Amino acid sequence: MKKWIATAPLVVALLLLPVLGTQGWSQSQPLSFGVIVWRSPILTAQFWNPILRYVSERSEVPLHLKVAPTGPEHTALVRRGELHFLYSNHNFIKENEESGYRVFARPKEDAGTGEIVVLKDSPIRSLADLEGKEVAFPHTAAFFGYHLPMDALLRKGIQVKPHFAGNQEGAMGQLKAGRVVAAGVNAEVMRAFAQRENVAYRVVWSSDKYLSLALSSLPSVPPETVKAVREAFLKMADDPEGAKVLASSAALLKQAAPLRFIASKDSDFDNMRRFYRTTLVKVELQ
Amino acid sequence: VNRSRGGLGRGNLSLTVRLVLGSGLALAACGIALLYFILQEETADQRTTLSEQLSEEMQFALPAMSGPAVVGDYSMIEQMVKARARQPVIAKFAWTDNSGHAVAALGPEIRTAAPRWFINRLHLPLLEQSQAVVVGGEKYGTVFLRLNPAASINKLWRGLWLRFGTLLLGTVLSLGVTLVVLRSGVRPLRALAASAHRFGQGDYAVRISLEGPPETAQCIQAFNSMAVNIESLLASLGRSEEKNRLLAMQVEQSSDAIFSHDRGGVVTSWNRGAARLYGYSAAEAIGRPLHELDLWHDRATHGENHVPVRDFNCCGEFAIGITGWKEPGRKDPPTFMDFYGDFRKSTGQTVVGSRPAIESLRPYLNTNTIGWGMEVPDVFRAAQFIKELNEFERAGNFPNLIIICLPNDHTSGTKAGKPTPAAHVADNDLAFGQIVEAISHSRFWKGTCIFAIEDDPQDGWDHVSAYRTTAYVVSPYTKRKQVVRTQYNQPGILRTIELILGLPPMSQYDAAATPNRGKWVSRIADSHFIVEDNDACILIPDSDPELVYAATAFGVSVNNSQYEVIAGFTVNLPKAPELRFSS
Repeated sequence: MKKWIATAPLVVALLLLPVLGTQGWSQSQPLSFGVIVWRSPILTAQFWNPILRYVSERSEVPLHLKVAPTGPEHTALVRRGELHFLYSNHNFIKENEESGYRVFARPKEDAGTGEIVVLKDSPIRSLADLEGKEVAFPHTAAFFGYHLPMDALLRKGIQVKPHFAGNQEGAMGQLKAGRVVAAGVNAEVMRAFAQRENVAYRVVWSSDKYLSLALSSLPSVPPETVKAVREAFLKMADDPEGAKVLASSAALLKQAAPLRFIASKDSDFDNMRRFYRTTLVKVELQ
Repeated sequence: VNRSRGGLGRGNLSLTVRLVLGSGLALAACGIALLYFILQEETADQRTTLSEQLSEEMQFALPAMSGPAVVGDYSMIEQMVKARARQPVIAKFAWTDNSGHAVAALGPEIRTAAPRWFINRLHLPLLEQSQAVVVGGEKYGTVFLRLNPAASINKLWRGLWLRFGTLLLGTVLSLGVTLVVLRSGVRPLRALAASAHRFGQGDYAVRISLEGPPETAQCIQAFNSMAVNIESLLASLGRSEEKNRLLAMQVEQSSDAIFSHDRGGVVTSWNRGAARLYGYSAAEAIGRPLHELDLWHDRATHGENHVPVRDFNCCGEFAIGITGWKEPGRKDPPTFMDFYGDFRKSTGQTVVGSRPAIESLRPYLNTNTIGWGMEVPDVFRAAQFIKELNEFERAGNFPNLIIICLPNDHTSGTKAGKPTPAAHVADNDLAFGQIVEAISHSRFWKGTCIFAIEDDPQDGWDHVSAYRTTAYVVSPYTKRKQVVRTQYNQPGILRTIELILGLPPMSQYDAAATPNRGKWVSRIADSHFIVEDNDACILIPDSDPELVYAATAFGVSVNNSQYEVIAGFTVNLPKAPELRFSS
């Protein structure tokens, strides 16, 4: 009896091999997992690689982190559907909707906001004070960091000199260095950056709340694969090992709380889609 | 400089060359050792530096390459690889992705200026390292880095030449300064050497001015002082030589025979007087042993070789007298009259003999006679000698030297029961005359010379001195009736005997003493002496009249015309008024 029990997992595994084999590419070739460019590629990789390694092991779907050098390039990848999985919001841009990414999970968090921030001792008190000033933005594809703040500025007729830093923390770094008087940022990222880098700042403008990012997949990815990946993400925080990985990644960014993924669907991000359909900001795609 | 050796031996090198060569070699050796150790240390430093550079480059390259590697930005990677590879220290910089695709760039080509042997000597390796680019636990290719040691080699080579040049400059400067200092220091030494040479050639007035370093000045000062001293000494020596020359001339021209010989008896000088006296020219005498010259014989008429001392006979001198009765147990030791009576009558009642006071004298001592002892008459001693002389005649062998002690002229003073001083002296004179007579009639007479001197003559001043005494020389060759007024002394007698016998001097006293030679030496070799009784009587109260005898003073009368007083002085017996003799 004991011998049968011991050999049972091996038999099951052998029986499952042909099934998994039908998935083909999910076993032999890693699926690309694109991440929005909020931070430097290295920090992004340091944050995501342990998570993806855990998810790959649990879902048995090999995932390969694909970090675009810049936000526009990330957007371009999204538009072209070159990423099997996606942790981003660029798929909600009107021009990228054709790629058909489907939301299956999102971080358990409050809805985020875009902000225009200045250093705490800055003389800038309102958006009007930014007229003609240099303002840093992550990149032209950043939703919270550029689209929302710039849309607000444009709607008020305030012309600023935009300066794109490449990513969220790049814009924040330029603000900290004094190269710009203000920066368009993701409020959550800004808080983490300020805490980590000990930067005192003041919010001049804040947007409505938007859910920020979603885990999505290409329609071409088999549902079983998506399901396996989705389950791994959703259970990760409850698994001690997964929680440890998330905590470690959160500690890397000095986040207040580790990520926890919850189930989500496309409709949770309708307001973001509406924004992109009406925004005055010209979303540049490459 | 000793140029006779030839070549470039060490002896031909001057002090300056030696010092410069020595210093140069020492500096070169130290410099080479210094360069070697510095090079070793710098090579080790360069190895460490290269290793550290490799580590630093890798530490820089890994994070720098991580970003582009994560996003797969090959163009960026290529730019970075090329940019990093431009550094002179890098030979090759490459990044290879996980699929094996490599992006590589070679560093600038740097030619090594050092020769191959130097490069091989350094053992600087081509340092290289590969390290994976890992971000978040995922590998993003591998970075390869190889360092080019050419820059380090060139740096070491330049450093070596720089130090070598500095060392060479220092050596040249050091040797130059040494040379300058030495030349200034050696110049006085050369002057000193030249002056010493001139001094050696006879220029004793040469002096050197004080210059140069203190040590050299001290040498010059010492030379000047030495020159002054030697000049003074030479002047003094010249004066002495002049005196010696005059003295030698005086000696040579002296009418006296003056000659000298060394301790072996070989003649070293011979003046005209000696040539005239002994018949040998200086050329004949100098270099020959003295005994070969036979100075006491006329070599023309007496050419026989001198017979060296073969034997010696001592009659009483240095002997301890033994006297007594022959009859054992007889009391009262025998007196003069007892001995005299026994001698005259041959009763055989007394015993007279002697034993040596010096043990080494025992083989030569006549133990049947006696030396000291006023109670034994000298005529007894003479009789004992004459008996022995007769034995020598029969044996045909006569000792070369005989010492006879006749002590009775010491007298017994005015002691009661003793002979009067006149009787003692008469006894002594008679005994001496008997001995002379016996020898002069013996077969040994032609080869015999008798020297007689007074013992203890100090008592009694005459008009000259209490320390002078009489001496008598009796031989076939002694001039008769000749009073020699030359001052001689006892060592002179000894010296004369030594010269006759060919004996070396016993001490500086006899060596320096004047021997008895001169006008008293005669060529008459055929005379005999006859003793006559004197008329001095032994007047001892209550003595046996038969025992009273008379003796004639020695040499007062002769039996023929051949008798002569050959030498000596008149005997002046003390005439103290307090003395009362009944003679």
